[in-house]
Amino acid sequence: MPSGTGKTVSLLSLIVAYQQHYPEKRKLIYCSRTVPEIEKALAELRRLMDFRAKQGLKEHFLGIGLTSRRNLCVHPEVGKQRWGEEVDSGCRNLTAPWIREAAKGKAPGEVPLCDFYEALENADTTASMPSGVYTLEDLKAWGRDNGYCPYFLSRRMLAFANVIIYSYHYLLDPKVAEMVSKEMAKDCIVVFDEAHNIDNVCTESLSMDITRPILDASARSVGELARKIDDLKETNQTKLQEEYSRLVSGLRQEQENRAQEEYMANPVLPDDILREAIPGNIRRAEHFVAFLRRFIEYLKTRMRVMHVVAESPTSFLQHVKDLTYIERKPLRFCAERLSSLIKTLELTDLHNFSSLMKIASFATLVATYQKGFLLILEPFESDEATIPNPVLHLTCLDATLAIKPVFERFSSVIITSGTLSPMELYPTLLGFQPVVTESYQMTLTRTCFLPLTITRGSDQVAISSKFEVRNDLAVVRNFGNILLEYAKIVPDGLVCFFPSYLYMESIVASWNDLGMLQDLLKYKLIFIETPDAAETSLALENYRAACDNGRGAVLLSVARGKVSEGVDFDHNYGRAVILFGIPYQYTESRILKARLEYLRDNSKIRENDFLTFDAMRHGAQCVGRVLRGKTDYGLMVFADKRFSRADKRSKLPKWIQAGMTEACLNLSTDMAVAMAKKFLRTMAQPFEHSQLGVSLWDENEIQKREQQAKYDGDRKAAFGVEKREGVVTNLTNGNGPVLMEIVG
Amino acid sequence: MATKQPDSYTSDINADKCPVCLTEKYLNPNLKLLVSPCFHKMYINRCKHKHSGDFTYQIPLTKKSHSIRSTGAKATFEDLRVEKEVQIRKRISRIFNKRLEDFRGDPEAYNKYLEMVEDTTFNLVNAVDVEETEAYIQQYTKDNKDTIDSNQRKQQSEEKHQKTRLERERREKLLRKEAYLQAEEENEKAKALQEAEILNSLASDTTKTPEDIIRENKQKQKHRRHHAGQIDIKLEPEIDIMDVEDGKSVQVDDFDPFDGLYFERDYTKVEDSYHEQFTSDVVKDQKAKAGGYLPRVAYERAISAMYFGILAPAPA
Repeated sequence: MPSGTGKTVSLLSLIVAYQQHYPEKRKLIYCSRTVPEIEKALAELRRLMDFRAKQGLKEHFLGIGLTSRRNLCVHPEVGKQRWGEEVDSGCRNLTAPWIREAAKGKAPGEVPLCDFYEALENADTTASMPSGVYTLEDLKAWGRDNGYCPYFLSRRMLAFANVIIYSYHYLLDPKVAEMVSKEMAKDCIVVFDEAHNIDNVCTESLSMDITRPILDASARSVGELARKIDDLKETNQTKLQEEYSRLVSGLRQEQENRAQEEYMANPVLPDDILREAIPGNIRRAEHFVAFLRRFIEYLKTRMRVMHVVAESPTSFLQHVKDLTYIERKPLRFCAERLSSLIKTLELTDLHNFSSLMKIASFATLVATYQKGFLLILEPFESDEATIPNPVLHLTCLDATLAIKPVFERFSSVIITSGTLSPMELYPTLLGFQPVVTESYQMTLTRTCFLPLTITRGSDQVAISSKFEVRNDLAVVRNFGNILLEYAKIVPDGLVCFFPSYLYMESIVASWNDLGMLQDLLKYKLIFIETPDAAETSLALENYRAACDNGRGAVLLSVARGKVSEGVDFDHNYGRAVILFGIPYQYTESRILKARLEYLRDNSKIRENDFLTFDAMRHGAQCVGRVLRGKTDYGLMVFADKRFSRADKRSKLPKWIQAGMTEACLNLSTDMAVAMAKKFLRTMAQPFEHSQLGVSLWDENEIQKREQQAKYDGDRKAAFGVEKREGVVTNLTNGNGPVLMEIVG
Repeated sequence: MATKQPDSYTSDINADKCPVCLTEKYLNPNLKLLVSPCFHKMYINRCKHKHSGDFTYQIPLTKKSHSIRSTGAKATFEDLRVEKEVQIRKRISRIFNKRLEDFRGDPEAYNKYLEMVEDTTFNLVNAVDVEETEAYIQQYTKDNKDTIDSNQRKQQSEEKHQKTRLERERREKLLRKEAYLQAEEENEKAKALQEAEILNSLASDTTKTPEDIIRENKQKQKHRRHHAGQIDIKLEPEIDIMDVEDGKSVQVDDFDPFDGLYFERDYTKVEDSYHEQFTSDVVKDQKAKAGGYLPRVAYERAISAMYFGILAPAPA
């Protein structure tokens, strides 16, 4: 269920109550998707803690959020940079240990340092923040007031915090997880919120694309490295020698750490690699540089191929060996070796080396995994293009690889979202055995949303975004008519979703030719989403302005675009969502094809099942935009013949399915409009505000319920939340992941 | 210790001209970009010079002369330093091919060895102490002749093994795909068939109500769905001596699967009885016996027919 109906707060209150009740105070790691969502979750947590304090609980409690330097930096110059990479590298230039070492001997001010960071470093390690919940803004303000760097402060406080809220890249992306999350204790409770897309996040975090510019930049970086090594040889030979002897002794330190289960396993650096030392042929810095140069040249050669190639890592490695005599083993150590070299050379301006690091992690990945990966070389952007723009995709096809360390590391993992359906598919995709799988209904005082499936136009012609018929005049006209009719009756905002940008463009052009846009403009203003983020946010802003004053507006957007995820259309900003067609993925994409094949071969998931599943979860995400709270109401219009089929419908979340009655399954435009009119009139009636006993419980009712639960014996816990609403759910003390779809 | 490389390796110095006949690239687009033995790029009018004896040309920068014949084909790599390095590595890898097994699984010794090899290569590539290095290589080759040869053989067989494995994987994939497509097709067919069935029974069957027919069919469909879809095919791994004996091929000598137990068999001799179904019923039949039917006669006729080629199809 969309946010605003208490999903986050019910989860938080449940876990915090559990956490505070038991003496071991297991830490809660709450992962959400975007920065605004993290902010929202932190605000909810604060309200919860205020409520607990009001109820007379005196707790020492620290809840913090963690995000990138870009969002947290308070340095007057560095913090002003626009791009995350620039902020990161600017920060490193001021805070790297060798720079601080260099500054020590000199007069203050000669070597620029970050005062905030210095203050934090010089502060007593026991000095900590006063307990409370800090949103990101609070953290910045507190850091500024006390002269501490908020970013490093929050990282330091991770060890002491009771609740940590951050993006789930911090756990799943191996490069980041290595730095941030590896010290988390084993008994942490991990929650993945908004996790309907988690399998894609997992595969993307282990996938990478290599392009010509990246190769060129990394070739330059290799030259730079070689120069630096020569310099260092003349000035400070011992340093290289030290590094060398460290490499000879191997990654033993790391291995010991892991043996004590201090750190979470990094999927890029699997366990067995730690048992070995760095192979002899890349131990010396100059050897390693020559090695990198050869590998980059090899990749360049591959990029010159003018036809599409798809091959497994095994055959790729074989070819590397045939051509350049690079063995698999040194390739596996590439990323590790490079970071060691960078540390030894004390390089600053690391963003200059980001391409090279990318190549190195590419080498490590490709040499580590034999299964679940595929290399695809696409020399042209599209089939029609004649100018080559080669991209080498290393695609991870197996979502289990990235999430496996999380399941292995943490005893309780909860995966939850408002639109996590069909749930049977997630355990297969992510490779785990769920302990509890539960889908919760939503309690509503009135039915505040109405799903309608329109299968044909007023002229009884079936409508569908199926490729064969999507450009038929009848279909285009009927889609246009639906929009027009709804623009007439829906007050304020109306949001439309199309399967792709391409289709949206073509259909809007046809509507223009048919004169439909002119008609539409009589009722509402039209805004359109484009692939450009700045343009889209401008359109959104003006759309909201139009909804606030005037007759409202229409927003035409794309089902997988920015608008469909994370932008809320609450209240008057969205009274109806129309989904034109089923938002299938672009099935000609080679990466998707490879993934489908892999799923078919290894997980026994049929191609069509997965495609439908994926399309429906995006569709559900789109229509879910309309309802952002219990006082909100809205229409959900599914305009495609295929939506009325059972296999599509059954893949929608339970709470939407519950609203779908037989009467609204197979409608023509005029019938749907009549039903919508009736619904909107009902909703427009003044809403009597007593939800008590229906979707809201007071103490008595909770106690009654508790007794009932005790009587039933199978319920373990039941409690109310802030007198706003009650949630009954199973609290699992057992180990293992939990899969939940929480609805209110 | 690393000497600076001349820039000529990366940028082609006024090389858009054939050094022999001085044809320019602009005038004759057929000029081929080739790599000289000292790793410089050269446009050479190959078609013209290929047949007309061996010319020599001079690299402008180094003033070295090379013959056209010795000039290699088009460069694989953009950076000719790498091209040169790979050539050297090719040679080195043939000589220094010890494996971890040769060090009795001691990774430290093996890593030391790898480093030594890398140093040698590095010296050759960067033209440091070439003579000593060459001498060392000579010495090493002489000392380790046996291991070099045996390791080379091992490597070859390993490569072969790898190739067959990749090939098998590819075939497996193809088979699986085919099976999947076939299953899908069959599903479609069955669906169409069922629809036709429903229509048929709706039209002809008067004993059941339409609701009954549809419900029945739905149940059938569920049942069928349960059965459909076996897309899990794996090829039998070909019996690989490699897997068993770790690289050492086993000599198969004369091998008798029956261990000397089998005997000569005279197929023309008629036995008293055979295991076959045609006559077994007749033999038990009293009436046939009374009528004087002997299976032996039938056997005789069958065997003679076989050996006379009576039952063989007539030549077309």
